[in-house]
Amino acid sequence: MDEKTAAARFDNAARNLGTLSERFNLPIQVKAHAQEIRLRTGRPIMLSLPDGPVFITLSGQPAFNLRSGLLIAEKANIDEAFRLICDCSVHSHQREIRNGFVTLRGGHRAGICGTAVTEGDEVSNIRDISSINLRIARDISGAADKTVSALLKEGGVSGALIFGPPGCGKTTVLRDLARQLSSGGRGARMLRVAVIDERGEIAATFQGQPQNDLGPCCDVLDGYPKGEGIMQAVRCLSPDVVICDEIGGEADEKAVEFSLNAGVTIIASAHAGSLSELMARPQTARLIACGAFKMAVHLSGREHPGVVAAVYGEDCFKKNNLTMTKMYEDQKAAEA
Amino acid sequence: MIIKLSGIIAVFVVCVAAGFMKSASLAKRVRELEAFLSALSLISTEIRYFASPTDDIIAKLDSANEYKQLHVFGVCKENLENTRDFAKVWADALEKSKPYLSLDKGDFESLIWFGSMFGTTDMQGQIANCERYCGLLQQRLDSARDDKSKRGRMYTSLGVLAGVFFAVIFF
Repeated sequence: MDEKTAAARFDNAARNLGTLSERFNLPIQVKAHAQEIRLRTGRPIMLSLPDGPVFITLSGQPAFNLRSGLLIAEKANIDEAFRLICDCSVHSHQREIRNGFVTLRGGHRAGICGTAVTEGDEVSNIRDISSINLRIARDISGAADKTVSALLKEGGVSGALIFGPPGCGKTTVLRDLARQLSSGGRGARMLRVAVIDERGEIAATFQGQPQNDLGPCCDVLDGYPKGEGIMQAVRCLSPDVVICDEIGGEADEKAVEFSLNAGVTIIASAHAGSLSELMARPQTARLIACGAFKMAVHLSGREHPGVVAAVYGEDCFKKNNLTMTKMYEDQKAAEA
Repeated sequence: MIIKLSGIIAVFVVCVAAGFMKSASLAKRVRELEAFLSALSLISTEIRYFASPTDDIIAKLDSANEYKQLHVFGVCKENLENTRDFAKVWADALEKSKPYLSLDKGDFESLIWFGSMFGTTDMQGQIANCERYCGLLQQRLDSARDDKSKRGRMYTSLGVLAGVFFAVIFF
């Protein structure tokens, strides 16, 4: 993505902040590299850049360290931004607000922080919004090139688990993967892809329309819990591949097994710093042991988002997973 | 003499027309309050069953023939394309629609207050907001109906009487 387009994406996202954004007078280089705009009540507005935080002066210029004369986000600014982020329709974004973020037109995401309103043990709403973290969406076309090469074999695609530490670009890779698989190419046919987008991060659906390009053969199940979404997709959409983010729950496990029996390939992501860390998690290990994933793709850290560090095949699983496989088999036998 | 007679007839017609128009405006206010009340009920349904976003609701209201006479939803829809702050857009649309509406100051104030709260809370809050303003508009509608039946006839008669009075004076 060139600097001009990246800066335009920044402007598009910043418009959701209302009058505050009119005071920004930032150079194109800063806009192009800004990943987040952070607003905290009574604190200076901060931009997150790969090199570190940048503040904004009263004249809208960037400041690289904390000093006086910085643009402060007042409560009224945060309230206005919250209203605009919800498109003056807070009632339509209740589920997202409860989950702590709202997807915006253009695929940007606003993380919301405030005082929780609870009903029993559950958070039913958030009041007195105190911080907003606006993440600027930037599609990285080709982010999944290496992953696709590893996954495609003999015209088909293998089930895979994409893992890495937070911020390593798992979602970006999944998004590009969905686009590449559903568009065909590289000797592969166009595959029917179903994306289970529980948190709205992959497709960034806004009013029923995915804001990110996921290719021509992709169905998006927006807001579905992963387990339920996988079952629904397998039953109704007859996909070749199901893609979902951050797998690991009990319901997910059953759904993955169900899709495995239906001959549907699953590609999912998981948080883990290394293969041993991934295997140490009983739920992920059980998923691997049941044979749903033929390989695991390890992404490098935050410094190189989307870069593949290693691809582990079934042999590696066997070495690392003997105990887990046995545990899984014992559990299955007990269930039977 | 002919000029004098024409003048007297003109004055008579103007007075009678003024009486009828004032009476008609009371009837129009009743119709408009009924339409706003029905619109609020539709908004509440849209929120309760579909959690529809604000701009969708306004577009739906604008496309319904029932609410075309109110003018305000069309202006609001147009303004929402440029400005996203609904409270401002709504207040501005009501201001621009004033010449087409027969509502009184209190009716406009209630509607502006409704708009300032619209879309700012969760679903339950919005439904409660709709119900609250439905109740308020219902009260204003009852009083408008009362006005129409009591003062409607009075303004018509007053117009005719004033016409006769000026005709006799000028004759």
